Amino acid sequence: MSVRVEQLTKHFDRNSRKPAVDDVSFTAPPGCITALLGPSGSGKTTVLRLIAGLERPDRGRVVIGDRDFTDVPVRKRGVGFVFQGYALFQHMTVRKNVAFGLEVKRLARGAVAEKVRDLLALVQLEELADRYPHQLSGGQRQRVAFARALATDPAVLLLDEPFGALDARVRVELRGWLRQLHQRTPVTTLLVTHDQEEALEVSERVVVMHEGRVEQVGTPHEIYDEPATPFVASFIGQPSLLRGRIEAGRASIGAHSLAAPSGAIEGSAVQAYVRPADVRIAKPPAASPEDGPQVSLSIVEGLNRVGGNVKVELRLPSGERLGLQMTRAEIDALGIGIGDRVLVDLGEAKVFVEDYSI
Amino acid sequence: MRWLLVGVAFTFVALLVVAPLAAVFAQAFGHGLAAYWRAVQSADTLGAIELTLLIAVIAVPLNLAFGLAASWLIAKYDFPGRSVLLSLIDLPFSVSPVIAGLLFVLLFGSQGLLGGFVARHGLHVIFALPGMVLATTFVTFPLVAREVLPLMQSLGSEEEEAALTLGASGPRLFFRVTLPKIRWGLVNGVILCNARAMGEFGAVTVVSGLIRGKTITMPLQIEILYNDYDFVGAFAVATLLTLLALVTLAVKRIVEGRQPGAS
Repeated sequence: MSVRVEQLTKHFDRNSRKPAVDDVSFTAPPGCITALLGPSGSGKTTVLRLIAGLERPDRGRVVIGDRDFTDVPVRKRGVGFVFQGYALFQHMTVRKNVAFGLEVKRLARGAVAEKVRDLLALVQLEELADRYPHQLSGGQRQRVAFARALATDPAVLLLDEPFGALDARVRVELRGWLRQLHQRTPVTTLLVTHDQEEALEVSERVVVMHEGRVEQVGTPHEIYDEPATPFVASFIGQPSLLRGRIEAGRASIGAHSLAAPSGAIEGSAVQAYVRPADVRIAKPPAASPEDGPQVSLSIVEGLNRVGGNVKVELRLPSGERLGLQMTRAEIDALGIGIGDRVLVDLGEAKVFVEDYSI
Repeated sequence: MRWLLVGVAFTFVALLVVAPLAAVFAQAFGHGLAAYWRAVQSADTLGAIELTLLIAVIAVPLNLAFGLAASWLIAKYDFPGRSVLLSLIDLPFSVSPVIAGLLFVLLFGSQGLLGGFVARHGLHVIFALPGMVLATTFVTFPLVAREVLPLMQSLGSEEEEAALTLGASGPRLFFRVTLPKIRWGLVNGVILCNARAMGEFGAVTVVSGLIRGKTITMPLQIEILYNDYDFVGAFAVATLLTLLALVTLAVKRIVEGRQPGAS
């Protein structure tokens, strides 16, 4: 079933005029994973809790399928929720944890046992059924939390930073696992995360949030390739920020000329977000003595090897810093070192007219 | 330096705790087991034991219910008057028990605010069991809440929220999720509450009126016997209360050892 939120607004502090969630609307399509992506404090967890019914909105509606759930209490909503800290029942075994939701439904004991067995098989925890949560690793607890949330056949699965408390390697493993799980049990899923890689890899649709508001809704490709706002452009892909001006219908960033955003007024200030992976550099053609100083060239200020990649830091002629990333083989082929002068191609920079109203 | 501190600590404990404790038992058994046994079995003493138990049996469940309800309310909800309630819970700790007793006399005594109302309905509160139960309940009511509330606050509400999303109703949520989490804190609070209820002297003296054979609890009986120069009797009843205290401490130790997270 699809999940639709309309104009959701929530204040936590009645005295502050800034709401935690401000007029948020979007639709999570049925059977898909939709990511709510944003920095901490952007209101994404609150949106999830509003959908679950754990918070009541000041304004707006929550619609699941075609039924309005805004005033339905949590326990009647039939949503599965995986909490950031898992929230497993500490005094119950894994089996009892998973069975909890089924026992609430007053299923026959045999049916409960069978369902629990199936779920534990689904999350590959059959052997640990009689352990207590404190005897499990973080990744195992996470899987118990998933099994427990899926037990009641929820119409919607809500995941609040499900991999947040795990170390980097387990996170990456569990992302693949989540995709597989979703293929086998295609429940409409909302995933809250601050990790853009996670959102772009796992989900089919991304809602980018910032300061309680929705910045952009789109597919991962759209979010990455066509950021709608400066915030999205600055948030996705760790870009460098360069400033310039509209001149002769083009965005002029130092020595570079880029396509201007549509409707840009001549002379207005622009900002360009340049992603490390998009920038290309090259050695300048051998300079002849009469060319004079090559002022339009950038200087390599840092080369920092990280595994098979190299992070390069450049100083542009304007004095601005630009970070880029290349493979080690590319750097070796170029044969550049610190202090060298290079030509820069900014590639697919995202250009926005600066908004002074902020 | 370390040995000096250890020495000071042990001397202090020996002087203030162990020696008086030993003295109580020495005095009680000073005239032999038979004398001790006779003292314990006197009608007045048996009556006092009975009354003490009766008061505890009424006051402790009252405080258990109140403590749980108040802790739940304060830990899980934000409502107007929350901080006022929180301070009021601590009030009995800061009021002298004698004053607490006097408060009830002023409230329910024949000249008191509610005295007329109570008298018209043929009820006896002051110098009777209801007043003694009220005074005891008042003095002991922070004990359960003070044990359970910090526990509830530190454990948070995530497990309860998880149970809610799984469809659990209020009672199921409480008995299956919350109660197992807080049970040892609760047991601890009840033990402390019980010990204090049985040992309460100040507030109970004021409302009891010291009617022999009727409104005398164990601590009051000790006082009476002592004033009558019946040292064996006084100390014999004292040993019973002391034993109760020791059992309470032992149970508390066991309970604390079973708490998850305790070393």
